[in-house]
This record gives sequence, C-alpha cells and structure tokens, in this order.
Amino acid sequence: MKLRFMLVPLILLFAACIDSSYPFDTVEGPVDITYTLASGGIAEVLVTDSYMGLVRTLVDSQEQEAGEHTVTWDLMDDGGEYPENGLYNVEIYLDGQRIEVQVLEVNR
Amino acid sequence: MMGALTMIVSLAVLQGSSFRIGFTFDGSWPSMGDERDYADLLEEGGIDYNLDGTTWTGGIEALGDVSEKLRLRGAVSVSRFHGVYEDDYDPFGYAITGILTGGLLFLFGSGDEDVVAMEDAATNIELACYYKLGSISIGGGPTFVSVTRSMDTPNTESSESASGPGFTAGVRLDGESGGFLGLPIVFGLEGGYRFSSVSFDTEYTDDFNVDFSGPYVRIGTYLKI
Repeated sequence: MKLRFMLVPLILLFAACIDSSYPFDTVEGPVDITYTLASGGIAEVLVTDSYMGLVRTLVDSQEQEAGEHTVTWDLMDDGGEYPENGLYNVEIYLDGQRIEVQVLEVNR
Repeated sequence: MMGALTMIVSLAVLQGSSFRIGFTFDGSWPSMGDERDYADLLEEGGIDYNLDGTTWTGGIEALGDVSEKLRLRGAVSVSRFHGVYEDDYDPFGYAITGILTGGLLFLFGSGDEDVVAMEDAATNIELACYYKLGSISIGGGPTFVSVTRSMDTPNTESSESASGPGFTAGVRLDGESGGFLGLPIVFGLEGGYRFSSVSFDTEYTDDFNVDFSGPYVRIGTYLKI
C-alpha cells in the first residue's frame, strides 16, 4: 500500500522531468497564422513541405499595412486536398524578402 | 548487380588472375545543397537543426583483373546522411529522474531526444574499370543510386524514395600480396570523387535533390582468391 502511494508522485515527477516543449506547434485542424510586418508592402504567405515544395498560398502578393496580421490555414493544399502529416513551413515574405518562418507539425 | 559480380568472377577465373572480395568503409563529404537550404529554413523557424558533415558508407565489393592492365570492380554499398534537431533534457530534471529510477535512466536512456530526425539512405550499385600502373590504378565507372528520404517528428513519420544514375572516378592503391593470421588478406585504399544526385519528384516539387556528390576516401579489406 505504502509503495503505491510512493509510486504515484514518482511517476508524476518523472513525467514532469521528461516533459519538453518543442519550438513548433502541433496542429490537428485549422490554424491561425499570426505575423507582424514592420512596414507596409507586398506580402506573401506560403506553406511549404519538407521538400520545400509549395503546398498552399495563403496570402498571394497582397498590399498590406504595417502591423499584425492573421491568416487561417485549413491544412489543405492549393488543390483542396489534405497533404500528408508531417513538418510544414509557413514562409512570410515582404516585398519579396523572406522575413519569418514558422514551423508546424501537422498531425490530422 | 549480381550479374556484374558474376561477370567479374567469371572474367577473373578465365584470366586465371587475381580476384578479391571484401568489405569497404568510406567517408565522404557530400554537397547536399538542398538539404542545407532546408536546414537554413528550419533554423529561421527557430529549430536548431544540424546536418552531418561527413557521410559514412559501408559496402561489399569484388575486384578482378581482366588483363595485365585492366582491373574491374563491382560493389554494393549503403550511405547514410542525417539531419537532426535534438531536445536536451533539463540537467537537473534528468539527474533527479535518474536517481528516482535507481540509475536505470542513466543505464538505458540518453540525455537528449531526437525531435526532428531526417535520414537520407542511399543504396549504391557501382561498376568501375581501372587502368593499372603498378600497385596504383586509375579509373571509374557508372553507378545506380536508390535513395530513401525519411523524416520523423514526435507525431508523424514520412518517407519518399527516388533513384538515378551516377558516376565515380578514383585512384586506387591495392596490396598485391600479404597475409593476416595465415589468411590471404590484402588491403586497398581509394580516393576519388562521386557524382550522385537524385531528384525527388513529389506531389509539390520535382526539383529537390539529395546530392551525395563529393570527394571520398575508401578503405577495404579483401580476401584474395
């Protein structure tokens, strides 16, 4: 009985010790992509896969003002199909220059 | 490949000359341009993703002389190139957990975890012809390369395969006589350049190349028959 009482906190402590947070989010459904433009200009937001192939164009050469913007990715490609689960990159461009990359693990 | 090896054996036997078969191990420095671009992309995304500097290849090969001046070589080898993002455990937590598990974690676990793990595994089939200049020989020949690129993350696994032709050119230095523990064992050394780029044609791209091209140094231990 005593052993059981000791085991529970030990397991919880073990779980807490090995818990890690990764530098990317895991998404299972539509996800909001938030990005900040330091100045106004032509913005592009592209989703690419682990072969750097273009999966989805979320923002296609739009004039946008400086500030925070949000766009939703429904996890589909440009053809309306779901790509395979895996690691995807959201690449944000301003006036043709890549200014930010966000990495997502898609696991539908 | 079996055909190539059979041909080498047959020719060597017909010539009544030196034939050897053995294991090889080589280190090479591939260009991997697209893998490096992808690594840069992940770095920009905040992932500390590291690529191998050196690719290690292990293989089995057979060599046979078809004339006084010509030596043929057939080989099958496997090369591996890795990219990885590792998550280090918190040292304090790792130490506490290790103590709480009675040291089992230290015994069976490691201090880090592969969070993103990429592997390019290439199976190479090579056939080469060398011109002998004493114990040194110079030559090269075509290769066929089949590459599987796999990418594992904490919750997903993906894999694609592609194949294509290649070419190797090198200089060999082969021991012609020797012995080890009474066995007719000889050693060989080769340095050269491998041209081996395979293009992946996936749903979203057709120009991602896994490029094993680069200089190599190979050592081999052979049983001389």
